[in-house]
Amino acid sequence: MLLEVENLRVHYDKVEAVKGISLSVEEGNISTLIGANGAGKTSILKAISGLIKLSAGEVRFEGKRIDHMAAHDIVGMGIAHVPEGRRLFGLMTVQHNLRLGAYLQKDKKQLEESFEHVYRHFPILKERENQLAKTLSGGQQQMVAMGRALMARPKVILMDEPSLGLAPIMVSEIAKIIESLKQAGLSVVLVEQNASLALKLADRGYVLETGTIALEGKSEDLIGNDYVKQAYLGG
Amino acid sequence: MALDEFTQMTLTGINLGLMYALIAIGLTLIFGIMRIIQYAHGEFYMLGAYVLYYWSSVLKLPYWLGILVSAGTIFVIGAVLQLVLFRPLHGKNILYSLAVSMGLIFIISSGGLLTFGTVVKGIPSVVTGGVSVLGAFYTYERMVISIFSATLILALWFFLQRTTTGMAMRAVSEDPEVSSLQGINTRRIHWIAFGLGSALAAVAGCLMGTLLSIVPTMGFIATVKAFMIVILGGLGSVPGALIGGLIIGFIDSFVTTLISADVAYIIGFVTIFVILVFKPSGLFGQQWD
Repeated sequence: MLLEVENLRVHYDKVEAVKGISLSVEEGNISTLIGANGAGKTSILKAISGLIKLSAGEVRFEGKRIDHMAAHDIVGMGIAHVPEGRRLFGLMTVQHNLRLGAYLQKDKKQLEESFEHVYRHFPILKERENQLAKTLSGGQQQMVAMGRALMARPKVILMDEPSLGLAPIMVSEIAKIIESLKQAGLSVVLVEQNASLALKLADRGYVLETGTIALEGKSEDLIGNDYVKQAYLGG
Repeated sequence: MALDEFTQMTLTGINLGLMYALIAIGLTLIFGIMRIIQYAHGEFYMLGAYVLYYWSSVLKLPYWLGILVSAGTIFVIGAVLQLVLFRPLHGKNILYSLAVSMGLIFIISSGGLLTFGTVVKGIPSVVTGGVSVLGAFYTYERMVISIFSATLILALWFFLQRTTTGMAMRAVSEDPEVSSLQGINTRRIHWIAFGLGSALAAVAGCLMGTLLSIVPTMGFIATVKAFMIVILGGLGSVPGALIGGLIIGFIDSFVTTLISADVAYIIGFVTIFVILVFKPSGLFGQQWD
């Protein structure tokens, strides 16, 4: 198993946001966490990437414990996090945003390869490389955010609401990109409010409700599940 | 106003402005990256000048190397202070850093009075002679100091734009959390920025000490001017600190020559207030929350 989360608990002051959830991500698979606002999806991603402290539980990556590690060390292990709302460095150029994604990469040749790789995925970013990130459209910004994560050459990418606020045409574009990442052998943990999109893309799904896993299973089973249909797929 | 007078005031304005800019850029780096109020910034400007004074006037060691030694010494002092004193305050209300740095002002300047004495001292210049520019006498010393300051500012700009550490500094000033997701150790960036910012003030102190004179109490007014400039240019903005420095430098030069130094202060502040009325976040300011 590439990434395992066991009995994860997260507190914000006295409020428990994540109440002991476990999940696992296989190599080359897409897993999705779906659920309403406040269900704890973002907290789970932040706990994995080291942005927030766990109050209990374990996170293992390739068999090694990574909870208690600092965020800047976790990315070096091979876990990249595309945060909600893209969170680009808006006052910096596209190229510099991407360069920072590979901050830990010291080898020049590998760095160039990473740039080529990202520009192959997102040719439009090559054209815009000297533009300030904040001047791009929402869809292009999402591409920069994904490209920045790819620059770290991760084994797994945590994506928080990549479709949020995008035009429908961009949403399907992003979906295609996520699929192509899987084809390239990457694992993805996808957090989405757009449940039907997420379940279509994913191999495995987890339905979160107020900090606990209400339901989990293969995506195609979840799509067929009456409860999921009614609560998340709009009947 | 005669042409020679005008030229003289312009040259002085550039001279002062670039040195103010050095201090203010240091301060804006520290604020932008750590979001703390470092009110003792001017004390590093003072200490930097005294390091050079002891190095070149007392120990008679080479002047230019002395500037490097001064910058290096203050870099280390700044970095250590950040690690020991300011790191625990990180993420707290800025009033904490304000209180701590206010305390530092008195510790450093009183310590300076005890150690260095109250007598005004001078750092002898190493460049002599001068040239007539449009009727005004321009000493080579001032010319060299202007060129040196401008080169240093350019070098810093290059560092921030082109090197990975410089980019990381800009990234941390925009979004520390996302910076750490890229693998940037924000704590490391903090002490580097604090050291670097303080070292810039030290270099300005060396240059100003060479042009004018030095006393242990010179830091406070430098802090006030640096804050004026940083607010004028926009908190956290390096180009803003440069432009702001030049504006205050010109006001100081022209008004002091034509009227008096007191009036220069008044006009300096009034100018800032007027600019803030029309541009509340300063000339190059972003919105800080």
